[in-house]
Amino acid sequence: MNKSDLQVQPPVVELSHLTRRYARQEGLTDVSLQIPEGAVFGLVGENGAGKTTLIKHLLGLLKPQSGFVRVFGMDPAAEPVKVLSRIGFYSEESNLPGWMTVAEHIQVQRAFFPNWDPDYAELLRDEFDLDNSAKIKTISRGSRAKLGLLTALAHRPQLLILDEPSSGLDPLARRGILEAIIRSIADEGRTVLFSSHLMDEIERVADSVGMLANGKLVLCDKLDAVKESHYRLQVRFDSVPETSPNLKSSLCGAGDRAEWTFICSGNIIDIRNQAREIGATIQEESSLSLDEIFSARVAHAREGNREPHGEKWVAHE
Amino acid sequence: MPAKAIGNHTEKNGSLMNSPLSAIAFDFWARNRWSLISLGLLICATGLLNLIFGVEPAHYGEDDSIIFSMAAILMGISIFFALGIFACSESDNSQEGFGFPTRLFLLPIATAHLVAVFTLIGALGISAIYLGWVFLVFSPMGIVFPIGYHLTCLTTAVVAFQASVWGLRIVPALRAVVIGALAFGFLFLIARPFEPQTGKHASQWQIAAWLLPLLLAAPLASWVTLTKERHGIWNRGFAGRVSRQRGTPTQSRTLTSPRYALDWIEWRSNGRLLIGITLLLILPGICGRLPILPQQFLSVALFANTFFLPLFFCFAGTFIARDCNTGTLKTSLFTGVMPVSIEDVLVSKLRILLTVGILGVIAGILYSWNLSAADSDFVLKQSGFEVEALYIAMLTAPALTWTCLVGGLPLWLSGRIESVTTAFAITLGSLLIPNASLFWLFKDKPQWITTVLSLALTFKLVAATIGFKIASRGRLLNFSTIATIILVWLAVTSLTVATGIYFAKQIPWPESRIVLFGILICPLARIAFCPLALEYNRHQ
Repeated sequence: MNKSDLQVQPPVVELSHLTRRYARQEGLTDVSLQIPEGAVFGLVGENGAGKTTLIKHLLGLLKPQSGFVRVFGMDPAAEPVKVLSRIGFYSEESNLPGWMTVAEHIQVQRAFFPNWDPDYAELLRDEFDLDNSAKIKTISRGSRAKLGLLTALAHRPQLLILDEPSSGLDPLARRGILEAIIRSIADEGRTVLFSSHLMDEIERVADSVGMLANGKLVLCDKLDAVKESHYRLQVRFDSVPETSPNLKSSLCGAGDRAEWTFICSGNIIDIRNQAREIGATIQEESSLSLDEIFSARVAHAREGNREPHGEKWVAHE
Repeated sequence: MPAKAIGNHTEKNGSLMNSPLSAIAFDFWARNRWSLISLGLLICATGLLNLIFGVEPAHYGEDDSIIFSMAAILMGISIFFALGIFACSESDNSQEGFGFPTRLFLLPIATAHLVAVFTLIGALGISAIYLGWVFLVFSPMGIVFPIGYHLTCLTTAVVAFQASVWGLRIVPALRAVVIGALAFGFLFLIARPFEPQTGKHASQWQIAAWLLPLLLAAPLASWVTLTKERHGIWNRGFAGRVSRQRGTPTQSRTLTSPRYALDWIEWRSNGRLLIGITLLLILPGICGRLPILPQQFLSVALFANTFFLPLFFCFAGTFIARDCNTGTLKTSLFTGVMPVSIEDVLVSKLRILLTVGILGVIAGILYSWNLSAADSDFVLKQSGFEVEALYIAMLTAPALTWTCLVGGLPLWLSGRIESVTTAFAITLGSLLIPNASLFWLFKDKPQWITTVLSLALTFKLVAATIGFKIASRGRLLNFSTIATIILVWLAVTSLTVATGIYFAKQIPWPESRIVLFGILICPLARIAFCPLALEYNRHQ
């Protein structure tokens, strides 16, 4: 093993204790996260959870109020040219200038990225069926989304950031194009970070997932690990409990009289033991969809029972 | 009791917003309240200053007429600004520039009602502003205005302006020509009562009667064009054909570098403005000199130039500072993620500012050429200057152009105020009011002027040094860029100082004061703070 093998590659994205407050609300609170090279990281959260704020920090459009942000080991606000030239970014929010034609927009974008691949751009334009001479304001919303994707991809970025990419695309384009693109980028060893509120999409594409709720990162792990560590437990009590039963590892629970359902997180053996301790008999154990896990996590975070913040989440390769 | 109070409050609010039309009026107020309040405050402040300092009723051509001139200029500017507000237009990225707010088409309200509300708001608003100036400012001066005639002109102007802005959205070049023609036509009509009338001429009431058909036809035209736009059939007619012709794509050059691409974006998004300025300022300057045109036209051209110079250059500066994509002063997501440095963005904006500034100086020189040739008593003789107009104007034209053009550049580039109109109004106010106050304060104490100019120069140089130092430390500007900016500033300043010294014999100012004024003309400190403002806007 030579010396270079021992060198640890810095993560593509590193956030440490990132906090951002707006005048009347919390943007992000003490978010720490690392995304290694080659990961497909799905960021999920409700509207206003802080997904776009987090992405804006990665793009250097917001400076951290406390904590730090590193992308490719650099501060994106201090080194915008070096960082942004290696990032492909698409968001439906980034309205493209309506007065440009498709060809003009592609040419303008090409000027900013030294690694622009004109053949790949042309291939994507053909694939997306975009008319070079059409003005951007005259093309459909879906075509604008495809044009935005084209310019995000054509310079073969080392990090592709997609902020709610699905909102502008029809289901066919979403499944056929977007997911294929993300997978092919990941296969080439490049990194993808995309935010979405469509859990099925995250489940199909991402290999790691981060969940934001009220500006806090409530969960961050490999997708499989997330799914394997969450269970739905249906339990029955011999006698009706006087107060709501409290299962230590449960994120939320609901029930009536003697029959209760808990969404739990943790080791299944521990959870079973905890159920036994409170006098409950497990009727059924089942796994959860990401959507259900997300709902439970959000509900849990709203109650303020989230896991201690300040812990650094690492999305494993 | 509290519940009752809350209940009453809700009921009150409910009744206020019960009618869709009042909700639309409220929407207009909410969007423009700061601009309207600023206008109201400007009128009140001018009236109050006049009352406090006890200016005797002024008479045309006498000493106190400087107050009248300043108030008249402020009134003209505020009325032009009000026209912009009452055009009730909004920028829409999916449409062709600014025009009628298409979001209102989604509301279940008839187009006729929408047109009626905005026409009424426009007519009442412009009348209120005019009457405010007349009764709060000019009546105490003893100046009588032809109120009925002016109100007819102004209400017709506002509805015609609305019809052009809304109806010709998809043919912006034609719209610019129509609006330019309307602006000059109405300026001519409004200024008419103050011009000496020779020979046979139409009476004010005859002109008002001629305007009535336009007053009625303009809202009708608005209704027809907006109905077509609402139902997506405006593109099929003449306007659509013109629009498609204009939109024929051409093969553009390959953009080879980020800086070239930025320049291209700036030129494309501000090109119309440059053409507009050239037409509106340079063309009347030339036309006014042509012997085939009547003397009255020259007066109107000068009148127009006096208003347009500060107004347009301040607006041009704000326009150039805005984000090319969204049209607001805040950096958009599209622009923010371009891998370009703050320096590239700034240099690109400064280049276009310099070009517009040179155009402005050409316009100013043509203006002074007209002014001196026609022996007009429109501005300078009223201001008590006993010198040739040309010499004063040769220095004041670049000063006015560059001061207004660079105006509040750091404020604009910071994106702290998002709306172009609000930033423009605030800057214009903050430039005009202190300048007018200083002029008034030191009018009778010329010995202080040199001291004030020296202090201003010291402040400017210290501020510029601090600005460049911070920008350099933060790696926002290279040393070579700072050096280039300073060299350009030195070249322009040398030119203005040389011009001042050349005309020194004709201007009743000591040479030292002229040199100081010449050094102060070209902005430097504000430019030094621009990279910091851009950085704030981009990274917040």
